[in-house]
Order: sequence, then C-alpha cells, then structure tokens
Amino acid sequence: MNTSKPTNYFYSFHPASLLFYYILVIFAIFKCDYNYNLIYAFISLSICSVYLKGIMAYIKSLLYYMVLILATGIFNVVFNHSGENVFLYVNDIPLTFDSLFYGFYTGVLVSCLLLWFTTLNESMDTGKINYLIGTRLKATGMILSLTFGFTEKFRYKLDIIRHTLYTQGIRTLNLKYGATVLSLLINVMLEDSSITADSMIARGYTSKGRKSYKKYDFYIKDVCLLILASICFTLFLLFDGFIILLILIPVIHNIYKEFLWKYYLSKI
Amino acid sequence: MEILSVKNLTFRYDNSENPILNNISFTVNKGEFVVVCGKSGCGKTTLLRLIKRSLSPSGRLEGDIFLEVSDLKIGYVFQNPESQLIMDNVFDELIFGCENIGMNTSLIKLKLGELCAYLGIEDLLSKKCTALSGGEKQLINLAGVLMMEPEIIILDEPFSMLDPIASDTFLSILTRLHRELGITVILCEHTLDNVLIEASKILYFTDNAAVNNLLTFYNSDDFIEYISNENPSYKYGLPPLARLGAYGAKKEIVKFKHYPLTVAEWKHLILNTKKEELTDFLHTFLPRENHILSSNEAVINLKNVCFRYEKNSNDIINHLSLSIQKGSLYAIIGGNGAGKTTLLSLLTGYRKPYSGKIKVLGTVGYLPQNPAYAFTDDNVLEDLKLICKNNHISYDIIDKTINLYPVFEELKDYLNFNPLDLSGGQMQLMALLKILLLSPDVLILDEPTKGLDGFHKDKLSKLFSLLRQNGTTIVMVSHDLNFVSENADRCGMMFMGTLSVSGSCNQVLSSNHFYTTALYRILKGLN
Repeated sequence: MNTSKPTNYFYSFHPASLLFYYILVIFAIFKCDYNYNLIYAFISLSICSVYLKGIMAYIKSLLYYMVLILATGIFNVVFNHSGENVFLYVNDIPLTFDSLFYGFYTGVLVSCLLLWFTTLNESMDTGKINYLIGTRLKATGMILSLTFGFTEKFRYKLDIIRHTLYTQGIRTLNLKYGATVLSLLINVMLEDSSITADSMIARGYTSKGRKSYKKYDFYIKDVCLLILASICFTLFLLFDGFIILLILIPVIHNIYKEFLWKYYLSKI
Repeated sequence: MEILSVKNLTFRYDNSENPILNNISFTVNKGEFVVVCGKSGCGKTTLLRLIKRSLSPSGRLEGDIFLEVSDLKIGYVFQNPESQLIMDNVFDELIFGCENIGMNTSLIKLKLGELCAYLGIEDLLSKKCTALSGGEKQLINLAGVLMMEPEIIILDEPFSMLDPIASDTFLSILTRLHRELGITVILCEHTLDNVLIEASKILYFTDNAAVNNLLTFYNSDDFIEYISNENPSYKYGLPPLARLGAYGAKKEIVKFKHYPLTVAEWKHLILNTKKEELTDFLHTFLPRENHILSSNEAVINLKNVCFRYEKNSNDIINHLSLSIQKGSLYAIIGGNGAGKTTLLSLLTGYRKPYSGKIKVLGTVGYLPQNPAYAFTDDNVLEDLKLICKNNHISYDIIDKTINLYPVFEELKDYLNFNPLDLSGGQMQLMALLKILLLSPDVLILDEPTKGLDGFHKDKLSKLFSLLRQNGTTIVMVSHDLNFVSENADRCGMMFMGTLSVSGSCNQVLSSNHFYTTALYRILKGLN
C-alpha cells in the first residue's frame, strides 16, 4: 500500500498571502451563524485534512472530534436549560433539544477550528510564522523561534531527569516528585539558556541595525491567491455554500498542480 | 604581525579575592594555531571570554588586552554543541549572525551558498537543529561563526561532547580553515590527540597558582618534554602517542628528532629502526586481558532484547544478547545514534523491552552524561543527605564512602557548594560519590570521561579499579577509546541497535580499523 502523502504545492505560497487566506477562512468559520454553512465548513475542512494528512490520520482525529461534539452537547444540556423544546424533566429541571443542538453546534465549531489548525500547520511552519512576525516585531519573532526550539529540548531533558531520579529511588508519581522534576528541569534549562544567550551575544545579537533575511519572494501567484480568496469570501457573505469553495482552494490548487505535473511529464 | 597581545593580565571574579588569572602575558600572531590547556578550573575559559569582550565575565580586571580586530570579527564556539544553537532550523541558525550585523539578503545568500559548498553542508540546510547528530551540530555552530567572516576563532573544548570520528572530522575542517584561509585559531582542549600536531603555540596553565602561571611553548616537543619531566601530574593530558614517545625516549628504546605524534610517523620510525624491539615495546602498552580478574558469575544477562520508542518506529535495540561478569568493566563503544544510551536505560530498568529478557542481579546505580542531572538540591551535602533519606540509609555512609575511596578526598572542601559551581571533574566525582552511597552492585555510566581533564581521568581510573576489587560491576558507554583500552577488560561495539562485535578490548580494538586507538593502528600490519 502506498502510504506517501501527496505533495502540498499550496505550501509554496508567500507566508503573507497564506496568512491572509487562513485568516479569511477562520473569519468565515466564525461567520457561520447557526446554519448549514458550518456543516459545509466541517466537510470541506475534512476533505482538506484527508488530502493533506491522509485518511488514517483523519479517522483518528475524527473519533476525537465525535467525542468532543457529544461531550459539548451533553454538557450544554446539563448546564443550560433554555429553549422551548423540552424532552425530559430531571428533578423539575427541563432538558431541551435547543440546548442539545447549540451544544452540538459549539462542538462542531471547535472541531472546525481544530481542523483549521491541522490544515494551517501543513502550509505554515514555524519558519514562516517567525518570518512574518520577525520582520516587524524582531524580539517577538526571536522569542517564538526560541520557544519552538525549547519544546524539543524540554522533552529530551525531562526524560534524562526522570531516568536519573528512577535510579536514585525517586519513583513515586506524586506532587513532591513533580516538584523535584520541575525544579531540576528549570535548573538545567536555565543553565542551558545562559549558554544560548552567550551564543547570541557572541554572534552580535546586541548590535544595532538588525535586518531580517528575505526568505520568500512575492510572485503573481500570491496576488492571484489574495484575489481569489477575497472573491470567495465575498461570495460566501452574499450566498450560502460558497464557504466550500473558499476552504477547498488548497485542494483545488494541489489537484491542478498535480495534473499540470503529469501533463509536463507526458510532454518529455 | 601580532593580532592579540595580553600584558600583565590579572582577573578576579566578583565573589572571590583570589585571582583566577594572575599577571599573565602572551601574544598571538595573525594566522597562528594556538592551543590553550591546563587542569579544570585553571582559568582557561575565563581567559577566552576576556578575549571576546562581549562575553567578558563580571569581575575586576587589571592589565591590558590589545586586539587588532573588532569584537564581531572574533568567532566563539562553545563546548556544548546543543545549548549554543539558537534557532530551531539550520538555515536560520547560519544566517543569524549576518542578520544581526544588518547584512542585506543578497550578500547573505552569496555567503551562505559559498560556505555550504566549502563545508559540504548543503544537505543539512533544510533540517531541524534537533535532528542533527552531535558532530553536525558542532559543525553548524562553526559554520554560523564563519558566516560572519571572523579573523580569530576561539573554541572552548569543542570536541569534548563528540565521538572520535566526529572529532576528527571537525578538527580536519578547522585545520583546513586555518591553512587555507589563514584564520587565527585559539583552541582550548583537554584531549590533545591530533591537536598538538597543528599547534604553532601552546599556552599551558601550570598547577602553580602563583604569579604568571601561564607558560608559552613554541612547539609540541618542548611542551611534551616539560610535562614529562617537570609536571607529571598532567601527563594524562598528553596524547597517548606523546606519552609513549616520552617514555620510550627516557628508557632509550626510541630515538627521534621530533616527537612522533601521528600513526604514520610511528610506523615510519618502526620501519627505520629496530622493528622487533620497538614493536615489543609498543605491545607492552596494550591492555592486559582481564587485568582485574572478574568472577564467572554473570550479573547482567540480556537475551534477544528488542526495543523501540514508538509502535511505528524502527527498533533502536535489535535482538541484542549480552552477558557481563561480576567485577568486570564492560565498555560500550560506537557512533552517535547507535542506541548506546537507550541500552543503558534498559539495563537500569527505566525502559522495558517489548521482546527478549533482561536480568540484572543486585542494585543498580546510574550516572547520566551530564552529572548536573544527578543533583536535586542546591547544596551538595543536603543533596547527599536527601538520597540517604529517600533510601533509608544512615547519614554516616557519606563520611564512610569518602574515606573508603581516596579519590574523593578532594571533595571534602566542596560539600557545602552548589553542585553547579563545581568544575567538570569535581562534579563528576561528586555525582559518583552520591551514587555510591547506595552501594550499587552494578554501576552504569554514560560517558563518564566527557569533558574531563587528564588529571581527573586518572582519578576516575583509580576509582574504577577500587570499585571492581570490591566486586562492583561497571558498564560504561564511552567515546574515549584510550580510556576504554586502558581501563575496560571487555567491550562491545554498537551498530544498528546491536553489538556488532563484543569481546576483550584487545580483540575488539585490534580488529577495528577506524574505531580504535592510535596504538592499535600503529601495530596493525606490523605483526
């Protein structure tokens, strides 16, 4: 079975146009006002997710989304008793279909947001985010980049600490154990950070006139994406259903590029 | 032409009255390869940081440091390859310095393309820094410094965390930069193998803490002569081939104009002198088989052990079988990423194999690569008491253990220190003391000689002998093949999750071509 993922050509767009597109998508999701558009958004985002990450990864996350939708529905019924359509009384407290529906709706909305993050991650990596932020807010961009690097280091060092404590007879998972691990972790990470800071200074971080390297060029295709996304968003505001087109732009672009590649190959 | 001149330099840290550098003077000419060496804590790093002004430590400075170049033209490579990486991917890491000094994009692009082709690191550009091996990380650190076109490169123990092959690769690149581009190199290092050959000047901090304890040597011969005759306590800091030459010359077995420091020079010497006599002499330096007799009782038994971190990942340990006898010292050698540290975590019981059997008789003590991880308190004594308390042992064991092993004598003065304030060697010994309080039957050590000077390596060696005489079994992972060959009685080489070869050190190291000590390389083909 071929498990390799298809090439994500959409990744090659300029980070600014990608950010603009994804902001429009998230606006559109929030604009789905208790109507079918949210279902359309969920389905379209699911198609995007399946195309970019594969069916197996999607099925795994779908189970999680189902639990989430169910849980928000139940919670809403239990804690929110508004609505006209009562289906049960418990100790004279009404449980309503309206509340259940709104709960489900919130669950689908949160699932849509999670799916949005999944598709965003496939096209926007930390480098692109840092590029966008770093060109204007240099210190913030640097903090973000350092934070991304720290996550891996944290995980690695945590494992060494737990291993060492295990051999010293400190194994019981309680609050004291957690405090010991955390204190050790902070100690070694601070020690590490001082070297990182020295390394930054040694390479002139404190000098004036820092310039960001322009990694990405802005091409005509980026302008096209901006125009197309804006048109789709405007159409969505005017007519129901156009959210599908807006969300499926990456998939449509990837399929078009795939056909184009096959066409070029056939000409060789 | 002098590029750096230090005159009557004295430096005291803010919290200390005693100067760490006391009235030292030296000069460095443009294009020189300077090696700085001496015992841990003698002030090497302080000196290097004072030269790179932006990294100057806080304290009182007297005397003068004259530099012909600006601070930004001095590159600095630190000891730990991982901690000094700033960005999360290689590309950003390399351009970081150029961005800081406001270089424009087209110039950065030009420099990057040129440098990547020169160092052969194009394949690494798109990688995440965490995905690199130790050697690659250190190479990227050097490349990041080179992007800023430095005139002086200062390196503070850059090899201490690399395996022998990665160290050789890194040194060959450094040598190339020095020879082809004429960059001035100031290198501080404990392991002087291969480094002495390149040195045009050696700055050595003597043990004497008196005024001007920095000696300057203009060639390796004078340095080796001085250490062998005047300062034998540092002799373990010398490369084994230099020690061999010094010993042979003293006994009048070998004669030479210059100390032979490479395998090729020794082979040439052997072929042009009394071959048999010299070969016999070299053979006496080979490790003796089972020099501390271990019993036949196996305390560690592994049968077809398989381990992987995740269900869908590859096996890190793959059908590994091993038996280690009581009282023996078993060394695990091999390149980075071969699965050595994972194997240790299986031996300590921290991780469980998904198939196969592991049987370890008795209690296990473990020392991680970085001994700082072994301490849970800010005060050493409190930390030692804490481990006693956690394991229901009387506090008397602390004094008893210190008195039992003479190598711990020097630690008595540091019991009230913060563990992180100790030098590398002292911290390693202190961490070992802490583990020995639990009287482990099996001691598992991950890179115990990493970053240690020759003096502390010698102490560690003596401690291991004593422990083994008391019946403790030691398993250690090490890149230090000379230490392995001198101390272990059996060793195994890890490759692709299993022991590709296992046996006595003599068997393993003599059968290896590349991953072996210089002495075995010399003797290869001469028998």
